Amino acid sequence: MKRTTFRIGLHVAYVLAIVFVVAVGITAWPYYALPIDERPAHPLHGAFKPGGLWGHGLGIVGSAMVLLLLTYSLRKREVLGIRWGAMSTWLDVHIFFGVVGPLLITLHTAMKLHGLWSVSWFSMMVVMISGVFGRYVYMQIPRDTRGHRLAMREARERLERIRESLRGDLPDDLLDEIHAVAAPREVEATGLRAILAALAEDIRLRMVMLRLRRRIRARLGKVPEYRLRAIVRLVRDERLLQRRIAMVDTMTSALHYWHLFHKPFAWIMIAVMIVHVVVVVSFGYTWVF
Amino acid sequence: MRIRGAAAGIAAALVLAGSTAHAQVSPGPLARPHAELEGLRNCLRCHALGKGPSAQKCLACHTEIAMRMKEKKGYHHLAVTVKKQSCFTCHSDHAGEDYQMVRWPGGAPKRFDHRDTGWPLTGAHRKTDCRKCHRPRFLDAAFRRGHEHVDPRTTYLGLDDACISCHFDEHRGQVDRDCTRCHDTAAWKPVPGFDHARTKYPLTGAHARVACAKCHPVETDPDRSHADRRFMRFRPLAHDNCTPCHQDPHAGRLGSDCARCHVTRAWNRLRRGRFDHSKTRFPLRGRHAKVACEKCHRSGSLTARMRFERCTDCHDDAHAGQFARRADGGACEPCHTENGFRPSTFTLADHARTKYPLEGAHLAVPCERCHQPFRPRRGAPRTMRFRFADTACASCHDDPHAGQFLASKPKKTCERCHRVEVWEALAFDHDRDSRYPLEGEHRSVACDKCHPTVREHGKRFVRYRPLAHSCADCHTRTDLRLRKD
Repeated sequence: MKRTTFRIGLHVAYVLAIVFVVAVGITAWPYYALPIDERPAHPLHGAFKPGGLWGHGLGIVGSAMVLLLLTYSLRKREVLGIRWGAMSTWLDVHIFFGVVGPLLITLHTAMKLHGLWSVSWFSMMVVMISGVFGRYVYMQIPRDTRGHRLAMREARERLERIRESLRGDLPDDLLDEIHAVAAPREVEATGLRAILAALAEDIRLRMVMLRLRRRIRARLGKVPEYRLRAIVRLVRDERLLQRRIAMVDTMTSALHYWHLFHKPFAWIMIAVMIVHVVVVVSFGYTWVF
Repeated sequence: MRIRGAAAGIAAALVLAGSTAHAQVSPGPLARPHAELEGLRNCLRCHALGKGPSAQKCLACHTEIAMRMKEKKGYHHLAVTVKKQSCFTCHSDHAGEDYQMVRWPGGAPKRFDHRDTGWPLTGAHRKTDCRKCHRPRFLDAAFRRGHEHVDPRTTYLGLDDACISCHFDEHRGQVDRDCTRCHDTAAWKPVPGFDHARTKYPLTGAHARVACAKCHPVETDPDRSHADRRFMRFRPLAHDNCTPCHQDPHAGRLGSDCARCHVTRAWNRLRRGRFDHSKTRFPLRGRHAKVACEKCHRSGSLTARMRFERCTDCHDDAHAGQFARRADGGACEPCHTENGFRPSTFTLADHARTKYPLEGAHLAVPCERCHQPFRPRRGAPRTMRFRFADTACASCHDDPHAGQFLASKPKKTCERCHRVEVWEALAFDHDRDSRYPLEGEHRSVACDKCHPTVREHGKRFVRYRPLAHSCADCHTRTDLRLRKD
C-alpha cells in the first residue's frame, strides 16, 4: 500500500470514527447529562448504561482498540519477528487506536467514574494526552519517511539538499529576503521549557509562512500554486529541520522521559482493564454472547 | 534506572491514591438501603458468578416479596409489566447512595396503578394519600414479626385486606370483619350493600322508614382509646317481640305477642280477624261483635285511645238525657244489653221500683201508650218520654169529665173515684163522696137520669157538676103527682 493511500484511508477512518463518537454522544446526551441516581429511570438507560447493549459494545470495541494499539510496541521491538510495515504507519495506527479507543471507552463509562475502574479510565486519559505530547516530541527528532531516526550527518545532508533546492529555484535577493523574514530564533532553553519554546516557534512559523507566501507572490508575479506551495514547504522544512537539528539532544532526552511517563500509565490502564473485564465476565456480563 | 523507578513510583502512587479512594470493583455506590452490602466481600450476596444479578438472592433477603410471590399475591406476581422481569429491570443499583430503588410511574407513588396489586383503589381510597394507609401502625402484626428487616416507615407491604386493619371498627366487633358486605369505599354512609332483609329481622311496613338510631341506640364505648366513643348498637339487640323498642301501651294486659294483633305497616293497623278484642278492656259481646271496627273506632285509628266506660261514649243517648239525673248517671246497662237496644231488659219489677209502679190495668198497657214519643228539643229526633211532670192520671189519660172536678175544693183526683184495675170499677160512694146522697128511689135511678151526657165546646161528657139539687130541677109536676098517687 502506498503511503498516500494509507493516509487517505487513515483520515477517512478518523472522520468516520469522530462522526460515530459525536453521533453516539449526541444521541445519548440526554442520558449522560443526568445525575447518576436519575439515570436508571431514563429510557436510554438500557442501551447506554455501561453494561447496556450500546454501552457495553462501545466498551468492548474501545478496549479492543486499546489492546490492538499495543501491537505498535511489538512492532517497534520486533517481538515475535514482526518487521513488516513502516514504523510511521504502525505509529499512525497506534495513534488512531489511541485516540478513538479512549473516546469509545469514555462513552462506555457514561462518565460514571467510580472505584478501581475509574483508575483505568484516568490512566487511559493520561496516556492519551501524553501520547499527543509524545507525538510532538517524537516529530522533533529528524526521521526518514519510514520513521527511522536520522543520524546527525544524515540530517545535515538533508538540510543542505533543501537549501540547494531553494537556491536553485529562487533568485539570490529573494532568498536573502526569505531568510530575513523567516529567520529562525535560537532556542536556548532546556527540558520542558525547550519543548514549549519549540511549540511556540512552530506556531509562529505558520504565521511567518503566510507572510512569506505573499512576499514571494509579490516578487515573482504569476507563480503556479503548486510551485508557490513547494517553495513555502521547502522554506518551512528548512526552518524546522534546522531547529530540530539544533534541539535533537534536548528532544531525544525529552522523548526518553516521556516514555517513562507514558508507559507506566499505559500498563496500569491495561492491567486494570483486564481486571475489569475478568470481573465483569465472571459476574455474567457477556454483552450479546 | 533511577528515573524509570521514580516514574513507576509516581504512577503507582497515583493508582494507590485512586484505589484508596475507591478501592473496589463496584461500578458505583449502592443505594442507601443496600449500604450494608458495600464492599468486595459482599458482591456475591447479590450477584451469581457467571449469571449476573440473581433474583433468587434478592428474594432470599426480601422475604416479604418472596412470600407474596409464593402466595401468588401482590404486585410482583400480578402486574403484567413486572411479572416475568428480573428484579434488576426495575430495581437496579450502583447508582449512588441517594438512588431511589423504587421508581414510581410518573415519579410519584400516587401515580401507581394500584390495580396491579390485586387490590384496586376505588371510591375514597383513590383520593387518599398513600401513607394514610401504608403506615407503620397499620402493618399486620404477623408480617412485622416475620420481617423485622423491613422498615415499617417505608414499606408498602404488610397491610391486611380487612378494612379494620386501617379503619377503626366503628361497630366494636358487633359484626363480622367483612365490612364490604355493607359498606363500599365511596363513603362510610350510606351503606349500599346492607340489606336489612338479610338479617334476622327484616324490616317491613313502617319499620322500613324508621331512622336506624330509633332501634339501634347510640351508646358510649367505655374504651377511651378512640376519639369518637359513640357507636351504634347492633347486637345483641332483642327483637323477639316489639317491646324492646316499643312501649307496651297495653301495660302487659294483652301479652307480649304484639304481632298477633299489630302489623308493622302502622300501629293502628291491626290484623283483621286475628285481633282478639276480648283481651281488651272492652270485650265485644252481642251485636258489638258484628259491628265493623270503624263504626266505633271512628278516628281512623284502631289504637287511638277512646272512651268506652259508658255506652254514650259511642252511642247517642236515645233518651235524650232523661235519665241523666239518675244515680248511675243514666247508664244504659240497667235497661239495655249488647244484644240490641230492644227489647229492653227493663221489667215490670224494675218499673215497680220507679216512682210510678204499674198496677192494675196499667200492667197490661203497652209501654208506648204511656211513654209516647216526643221531641225533646226543636229539631231533635223523637224519643220516648220517660220523664213526666207528675204522675197524675191526667198526665196520660184524657179527662173524660171535661174538667168538671178540677175546680172542686179540695181538688179531687181521679183516684178519689177510679181505680187502676179498670176504669169502670169506681171507688165512688155517692152518699159519701157527693153533696147529694142518694136516698129512696134515687138509689134505683140510673145515673144518666140525673147525669145526662151533654156536648159542650165540641166535647161530649157526662155532666156531674154543676148540677142543681132541687127536685124541680129534675122532676116535673106530673112526676110529683103520680108519685103522690
